[in-house]
Formats: sequence, structure tokens, C-alpha cells
Amino acid sequence: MLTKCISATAASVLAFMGAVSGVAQEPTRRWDPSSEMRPILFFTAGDVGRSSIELRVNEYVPLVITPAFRNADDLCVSSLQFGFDPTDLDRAPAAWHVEARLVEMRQGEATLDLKWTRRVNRADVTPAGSFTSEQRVNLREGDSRILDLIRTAHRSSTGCDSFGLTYGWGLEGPRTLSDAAIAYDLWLVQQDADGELVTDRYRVTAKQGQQVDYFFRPLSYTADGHRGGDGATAILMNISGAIRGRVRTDGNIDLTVDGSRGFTDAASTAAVASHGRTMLTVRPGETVEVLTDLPVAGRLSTFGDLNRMFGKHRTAVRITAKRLW
Amino acid sequence: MTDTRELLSALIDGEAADADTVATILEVPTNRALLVDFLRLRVSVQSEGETAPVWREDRFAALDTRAQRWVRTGLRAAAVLALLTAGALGGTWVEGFLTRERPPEPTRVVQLQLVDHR
Repeated sequence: MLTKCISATAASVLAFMGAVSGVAQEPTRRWDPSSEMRPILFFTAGDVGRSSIELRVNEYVPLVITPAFRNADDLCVSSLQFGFDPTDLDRAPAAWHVEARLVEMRQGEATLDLKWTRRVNRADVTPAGSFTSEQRVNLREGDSRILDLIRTAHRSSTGCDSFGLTYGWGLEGPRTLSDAAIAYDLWLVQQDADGELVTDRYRVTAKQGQQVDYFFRPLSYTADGHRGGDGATAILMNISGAIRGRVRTDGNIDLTVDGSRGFTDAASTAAVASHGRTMLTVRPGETVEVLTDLPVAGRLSTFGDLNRMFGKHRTAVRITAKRLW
Repeated sequence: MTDTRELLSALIDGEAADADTVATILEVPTNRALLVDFLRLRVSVQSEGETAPVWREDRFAALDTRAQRWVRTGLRAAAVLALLTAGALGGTWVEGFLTRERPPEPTRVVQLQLVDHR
């Protein structure tokens, strides 16, 4: 089934190339997605299974999702089947027929149209019968949303009472590089308003397209934004985030960098943070500096305006990405 | 007066001097005394300069010759060892300084764009 799915959607690459050239480069000058990147819609049901369909611009691509329940009393799933045969809706205890099309793609985001039908053929599962929905959704890369959820009519003390399907949008790199791995070398470069410089290092390795977290040692500050010692710490600054890379066939690497700068009080009773993202293409071994000194919304307990307090600080993460294999 | 002192000094140093002039000068008693002073000074300078350098045996007076050799050899070895240690420590410091971990220089700088949480 999966093979059938893949082969049936392979032709969408050409359509995607048109979409990329026509849609994605307008909103930003920095993001230059490779024509090798393929937009996908993926479905998951817990840790039981995952499958994806390659999206086409303004053309619906179908997928039928059929869970195999372990027994007739609950909704514990042993496996998920993905295919294109709509008659599965009539045969399976429960099945979903999903159709999706790509409307628009921006930097790290996409607008999709979803049409889906749920069919439940088990009397002990609710809601019973058929249900059809049609919606337009905006998805950020890597985000996951719930498509649908069904429950057993009678609560089970040992089994699974419910079954849920989630979906998300993402990009995949060239198939020939699906086994590639990337090493990330990240440096926090924090320069305070008084010129004091603090650095910290974090190294991590990930597979092609895999998102991995990074974080640095918290930095201590006094209530007026100066570097704090052991007894004078009033505020802690935390820099963290996530990075995802895809190696291109030309050797360059597409990066999606998420960053967060957060502040907590010394007692960890309050916290504020700001989050940001950037997408860029780097040469192998090239070092780029990502400024993460984002403005903070809100106040941290009794402290003053953090944006003014840390306004002259410079917070950056330097990233070097190399393909390992 | 100055000429008298210079002439007598030159005479003591072995330089040529006019004999009649020297005879006239030496008729004055104070000049004769000055000549004698020059002569004594000259002798004392000569005796210091002619003294040959000697090893201060008193430094190792309690040691015999063989022991002195061992001490000297030990001192030489210690000096070499100290030099080698200093060189090694210096090299380690230089290597550490050169290879000290520091952030690489970026080729470009980009700014994160704020993300709202939906």
C-alpha cells in the first residue's frame, strides 16, 4: 500500500517545482527553497504508524487511513494501513478518506485544503456512521494537529478508550539523500551592554530533515541587567531552540532554525519568553550567526521592562552545519 | 696646577715627558709628594689587575674534589631539567592559547523572526 502511495504521488515533484518558483520566494528574500524539497502532509496515530502524501498545488491527493484494532472491545491499534482504495471505508471497522491540496507556501508555513470523510462501522464506537469535513488550514512546518478522534461507547478499564489521528505539514529533501546525517556546532555568543562576553557551546547530530533541540547554560543577571554572581542572581536568561537541516544534492544545507530567549526569576516562580524562526541555506561548514535577542512580551513579576533592561545586550547563536554522511 | 698633575700622571703612566720641566716641578715639595702619591696609586692598580681569577675553594671547603664534581654535574643537570620544563610548559600554554575553543566567525548574520504561538 505504501509503495502504491509513493509511486502514485511521485509525479507531484514537477508540480511542486512550479509552486516553489511561483509562491515561496515572494514573501522573503532569505528563503530560497530548493526545487528538490517536497511538501508533504503526514498522518500519525500515536506511535503506531506514520505515513505521508506528497502535496500538489491546487490538486487534491487522496489517502485512505485504516487502523487495525487489536480486538473488538477497545480501540488499541496494532497497525495503520495507508492506501488509496475508498472501498476500505466500507470494509474496515473505522477508516478515514483524506484528500489534501497545497494552496500556498510561505517561509516555513503552508496553506492547505483538507477534505476528509470518517466512516465508523462498529456499533460500540462513537460517533457512528459517516462524517465529512472540509477545511482550509495554515500549518507551520513540524506542527501537529488533531484530525479526528473516536471513542468507545463503553469505557474499558484495561484497553484503549479512544483513537486519534493527527496530521502535520513538512518538507522532505531529495530521496537519494534520505539517509544523510548532519552535525551541528552551535555557539551562544552573549554580549552584555557593558561589553562582557560569554560563550557556550552545544553540539548535536541529526538525520536528514530531523529536528533536534539545542540549549545553553542559563546566564545569571542582577535585577538591573548586569551579570550576576552566586548571591546576586535575580534573573536567569535561557537560550534554547531547535534546528532542522536538509542536505541538497549540491551539498548545501537548508536550515530551519527556531530560537527562544526566555527569562525566569531566581526562584523560578515566573517566566517570559519570545520565540522566533528563520530559514536559510548554508554552504557546508559555513558559520552563520542567528540573532535571538527578540523583544519580550509581558513583564517578569516585579522586574522592570526587560526589553529596556536587556535592550543593549546582544544575544546570538552561531551555527555551523556539516554533512556527516 | 692642573698641568703639573697631568704631567706627573703622564710620567707615571710611562708617557714621554720633558726632563727639564719635570726637574723644575719636582723642586716644589708638594709636587714631589704628589708624585709619590701617583706612584702608590699606580702600584695598587697594577697589583689588582695582575691578580689571576681563582675558584673560591672556600665555597666547597667541606667537600673533596670528587664531591665537587658530583655537585657541579647535579647543578648542570638541574639547570637543563629546568630549561626543558620551562620549554614544555611554555609550549603547552602556547598550544592551549592557539587551540582554545572560541566561536567561529560568521559569514553572515540573520535575525530570527518572531513567531506567534497559535
